[in-house]
Amino acid sequence: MSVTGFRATGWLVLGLASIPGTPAAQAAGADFYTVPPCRLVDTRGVAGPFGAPNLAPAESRGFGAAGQCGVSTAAEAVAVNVTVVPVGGGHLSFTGTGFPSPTTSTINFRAGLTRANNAVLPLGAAGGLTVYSGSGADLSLIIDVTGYFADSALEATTAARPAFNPPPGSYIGQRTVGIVTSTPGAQIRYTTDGSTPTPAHGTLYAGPLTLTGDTTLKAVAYKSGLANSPVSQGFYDIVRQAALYIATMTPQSGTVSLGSGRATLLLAEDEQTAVLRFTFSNLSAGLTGSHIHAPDGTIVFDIDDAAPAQDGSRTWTLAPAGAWTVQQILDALRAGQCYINLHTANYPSGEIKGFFRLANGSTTFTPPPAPPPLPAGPPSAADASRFLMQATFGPTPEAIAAVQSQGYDAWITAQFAQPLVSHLAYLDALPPLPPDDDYPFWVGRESFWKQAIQGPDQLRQRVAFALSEIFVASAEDSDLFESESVNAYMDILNRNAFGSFRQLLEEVTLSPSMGVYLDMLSNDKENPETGQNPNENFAREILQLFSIGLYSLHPDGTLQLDSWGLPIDTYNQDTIKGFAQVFTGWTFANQDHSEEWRFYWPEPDWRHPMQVWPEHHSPGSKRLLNGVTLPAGQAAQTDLAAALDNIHQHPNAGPFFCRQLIQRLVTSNPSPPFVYRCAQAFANNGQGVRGDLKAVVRSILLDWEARSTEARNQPGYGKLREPVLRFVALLRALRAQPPADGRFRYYWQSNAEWGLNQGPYQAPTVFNFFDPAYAQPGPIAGGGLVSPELQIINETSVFGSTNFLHPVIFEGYTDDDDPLTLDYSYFTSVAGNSTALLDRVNLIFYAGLLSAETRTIFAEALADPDFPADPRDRVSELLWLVSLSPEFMGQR
Amino acid sequence: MSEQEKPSRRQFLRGSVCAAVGMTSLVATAFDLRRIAAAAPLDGDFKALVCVFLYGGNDSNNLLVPRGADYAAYTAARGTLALPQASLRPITPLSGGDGRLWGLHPNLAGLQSLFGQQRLALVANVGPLVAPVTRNEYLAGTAALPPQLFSHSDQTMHWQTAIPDQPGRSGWGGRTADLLHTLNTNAQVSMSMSLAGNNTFQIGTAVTQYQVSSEGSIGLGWYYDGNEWHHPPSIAIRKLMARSYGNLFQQGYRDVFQRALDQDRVLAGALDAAPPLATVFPDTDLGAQLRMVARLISVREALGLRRQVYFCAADGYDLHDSQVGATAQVGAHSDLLAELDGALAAFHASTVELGVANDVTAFTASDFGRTYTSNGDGSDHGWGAHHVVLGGAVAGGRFYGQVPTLAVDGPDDSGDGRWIPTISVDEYSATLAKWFGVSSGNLGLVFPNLGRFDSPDLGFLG
Repeated sequence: MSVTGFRATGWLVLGLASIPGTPAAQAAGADFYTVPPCRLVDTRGVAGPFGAPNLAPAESRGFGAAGQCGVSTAAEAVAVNVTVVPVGGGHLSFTGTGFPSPTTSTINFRAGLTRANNAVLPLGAAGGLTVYSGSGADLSLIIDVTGYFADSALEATTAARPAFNPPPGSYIGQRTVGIVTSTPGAQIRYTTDGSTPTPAHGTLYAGPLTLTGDTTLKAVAYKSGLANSPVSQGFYDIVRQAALYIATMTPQSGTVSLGSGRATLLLAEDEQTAVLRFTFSNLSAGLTGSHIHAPDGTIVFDIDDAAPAQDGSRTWTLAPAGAWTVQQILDALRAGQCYINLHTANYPSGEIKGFFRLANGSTTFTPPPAPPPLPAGPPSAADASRFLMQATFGPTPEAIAAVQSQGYDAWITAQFAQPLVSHLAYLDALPPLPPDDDYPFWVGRESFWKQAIQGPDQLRQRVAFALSEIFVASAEDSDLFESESVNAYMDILNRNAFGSFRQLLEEVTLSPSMGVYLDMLSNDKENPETGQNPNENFAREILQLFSIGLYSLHPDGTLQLDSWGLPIDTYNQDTIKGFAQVFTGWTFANQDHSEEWRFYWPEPDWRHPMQVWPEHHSPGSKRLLNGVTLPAGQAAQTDLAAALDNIHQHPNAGPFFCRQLIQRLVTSNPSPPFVYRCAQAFANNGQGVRGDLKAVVRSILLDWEARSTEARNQPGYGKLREPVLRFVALLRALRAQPPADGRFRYYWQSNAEWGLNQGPYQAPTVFNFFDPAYAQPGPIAGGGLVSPELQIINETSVFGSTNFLHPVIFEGYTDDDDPLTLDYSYFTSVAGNSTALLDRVNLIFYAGLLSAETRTIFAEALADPDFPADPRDRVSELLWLVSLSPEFMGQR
Repeated sequence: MSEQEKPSRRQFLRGSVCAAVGMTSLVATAFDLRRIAAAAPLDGDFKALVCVFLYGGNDSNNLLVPRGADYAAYTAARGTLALPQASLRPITPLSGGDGRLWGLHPNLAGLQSLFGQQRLALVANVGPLVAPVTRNEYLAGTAALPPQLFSHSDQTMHWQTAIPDQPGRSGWGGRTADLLHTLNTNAQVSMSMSLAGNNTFQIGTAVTQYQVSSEGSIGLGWYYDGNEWHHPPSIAIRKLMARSYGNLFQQGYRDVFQRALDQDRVLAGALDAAPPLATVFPDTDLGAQLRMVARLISVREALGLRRQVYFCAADGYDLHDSQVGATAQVGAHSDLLAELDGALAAFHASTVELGVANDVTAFTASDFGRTYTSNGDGSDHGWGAHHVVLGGAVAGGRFYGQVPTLAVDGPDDSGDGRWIPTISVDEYSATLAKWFGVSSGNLGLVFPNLGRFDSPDLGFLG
């Protein structure tokens, strides 16, 4: 090793020449030059060859150091300060571009601790530096240059070799490469065909060249009076492939918005065009503009400029915009710095936006910020009424007063404590009939109406009704035509409405009513000889409808997407088969096991959970969710418990259930943050318990989005009042009392032409009365919203239900000859005073939100001399108009 | 059986497949067919398409049954579901029968007769497909498949939209109506009428489906239209429905109510004035639906409709159990097929009575077929199924397509006798739409995936 002198300030340096294996063998010695301290690289900043994105785990990246920051392109090494801001621990290794990857490290660091180190780093091909990340997580890299080593003798006689920026290497996507030499006045010629460039051969360099495919780039610098520079050369491995970017749009800061959206951008292989698809929901007003922006806000794609294709997608042809070149736009896109922005009349500078990130496995999830606080203090009467529309079957003056005096939270707690009333007990308490006489099978429905209309445990009734629309077992088109079978099932939902989700799953699974409805009852193990397989009906529906749904969800209920931008299935046919095998061997309880055929033709016992016949339970191993497989040979109860645990623990359970419960209670289109907050309560009730339904219900009803006055003013907020709720709200407002025998005789409501088109526990199929994803064609579907209850509102049912309600309101009509007794006094006592009457109507039926225009329509009718004068007729007529009014039907 | 699809096949389809960005918040698929010039107007003619949807998944393996040499394999495979050979109603197709012997379910007397009169065609092994797929590809997991095979709601949607690889928000009936509704120059009511409630098949952009009950349009009681007499509640109702509402749910409800008022006025008047039908329909739910369809067809001039799309449906085909009873000839499925047979036969007779037999084509559709194997006393969800097309214009008495090899683990089986379809819903539906009036050039607008399949016109409608 020889030591040579230096030319600048007192640094002792080592000549690099004779160290075996080192790259800088071309110089006999080198001098050190300082430069004003200069930041060469900062991966936290602007996207580009010296900037964002941060270094990914195990990534290697080249930087064209020579020619930057005052470093001569003839330099052989640079002196730098390397700073790392790491997430995880590890090390970085630097060497010259093109040199063998080093087995040494330049800087070592621990997780989360910023470190810096000085280093002298050799420059490689065409003046490049390459860093190798030895960390398992992202890190930010900053390189500050303090000086460089160059042979001053060589500089005086020879043109400085050209430097390439970015340096040769492997790149995904086209690269714009600049070539520079430090010799003033020198020219550069380059070739891409592998031939050696000379002053007489090659293309004269006039500006950066864009490489779109594999290229061997060679360049020479020359100037008269100097020797030609050494030829710089390097191979650019340009990999072009289509890339998918995904953006999740959330409300921008400064907006009060429930909006959300999702966009995918498929960049074509040639990087000249990209196909954009986006969806959105719940904006506060109509869309006025949508753009893709560069990091500084420059619009790089005005989405409305592109006509939509048949499938709704738009093609963006990349072009320079403002100060942005196409290469810069691509760099920014790749660095996750471009965003899509939707503008509305309320928020001209943008209501929701999301940054495009390269799709890589499932998209990541960021928890939403907390909502603004709700105003403190006791609720107003109107607010209490609105709360009761969500938490009960309908407000009454007494219930409103109770909520006002207790406050929402205490009212909920008091409701949790209300005693349970059994629907089976109702049947048992019916007066005995003479022999040879039986109650008809529909008599059990009376119990539902009694509890819904009069039950003090209104919150339980409302939640149980919602559960009946998720865990559907129905008397329609099924073998559940005995009252006992339906009422036993109603009791299960009542009992578990404020219990644990896991317990609810188990009781529903072992319910003989559900067993009959979805074929788990007497489901037999597989028979290899006949090829008969266990029935899959319940296995399919418990997953698809009752617990986790078809697609993997983020904690806020939005879809996870794979790297193709497609939803991720939660299960496949093998999983269904596995669960179907779990659900074998169970039948009605209390059978005589000595009679083997009893398994297939059991005596009905609707009141007890199903019991198992071990010899009919599938013996093999069973494939479940999330890669879990139950071993062969387990007892049926063990398999069952494990399978239900497997479902209960699935991350989808919270968001899937929450979204549906919110849809039944509050609004059809909860924002993802609303679903998230509920799902968090599902995941942990605050005491480490998962699936606590009390916590879930409380979370929903007290949520900002359920209570705030801003949320409800969004045009897409709220839901259509489903027919059963519409009907019972009227009866509760009129304090309906049954005839003397205490029986509410409503049986035939499920008909569209002369009923409500909906009857409790009479869903036409296991998919309930309406699809949670149904969107009425028109502004609702166009706004990216869903409107499930509108699926059963059609030109037939809209008249049929209104016709049904007329005699109910006027006479207390029931399906039998015993009408209800209705108490109109809350309204008739002010029948002579239209203002007071409409105020009360507004409170009970519109939560104080009756518009001036509709109020005027009612007032004009009331003032009309031909409108009924008799107080009871007057009120009945008015309430019938209320019952069909859009502002009552659309609840917010 | 589906495994992780390999990227190569998906990548191939990526160019023509819409990435499903989200299933929960969707923009309506933008088929803005109003921008497309209407099909060339045809003078004076009338056509009606009648979809009879069998909800739950029809076990068409017992609709069409092999006789003779192939019967033994049928009975061995189907076990408790196998129909006795003597009970089958023999049919002899003029073509497509593969030289084998065939029979229809014992309860399909009407369809047997219509098949013999060449008014009924059988289209074999139809089902949703994203692209043609073989058994090997299916088992290897390299095939692109319609999402959620064997799920009722998804397969029903695929059948009704005919675009299984997109989040379907319009039906092919709706898109067809969008394209052709301008032929109804004086339409008083919607050209898309449903006798079975809201359905995806008839969802379109320009044309909204109109639900009618089997008794006709139902009116609003205690409501007095027009200026008969001064009735303040009716006046209030008209005012309530005439205004618009900021909340989209309130407005959505208002839209339905207003439309109901308008269409009821027209329809009730037309039906009241029409002479009654002589044809007797069976007293079943499907019979009542198709009788009303016949009556609506009879008043088409008063309604100003030259092109009509009807949707009827029968429920209850999802027979995981009780499909058969003490014998295979009885039970829920047999009852359903009896209802189907009686209703279709009467319907065709009524079109003959009205002189429009050549202008009305009815066709069946269903979520899927069912497993060839039995699960005890029923069958589970399948895939490809046979369907029938009925009408004076049908080149009937023939089988179209290819009856699959009826063998579990045979070349057409995806597992347990769930037949991999050899005819896509696209091809089946496009044949119907083309007859109905969608020009060849516009077929791709209604059926964007049609080009992936061999037969845009299966030929069963001359």
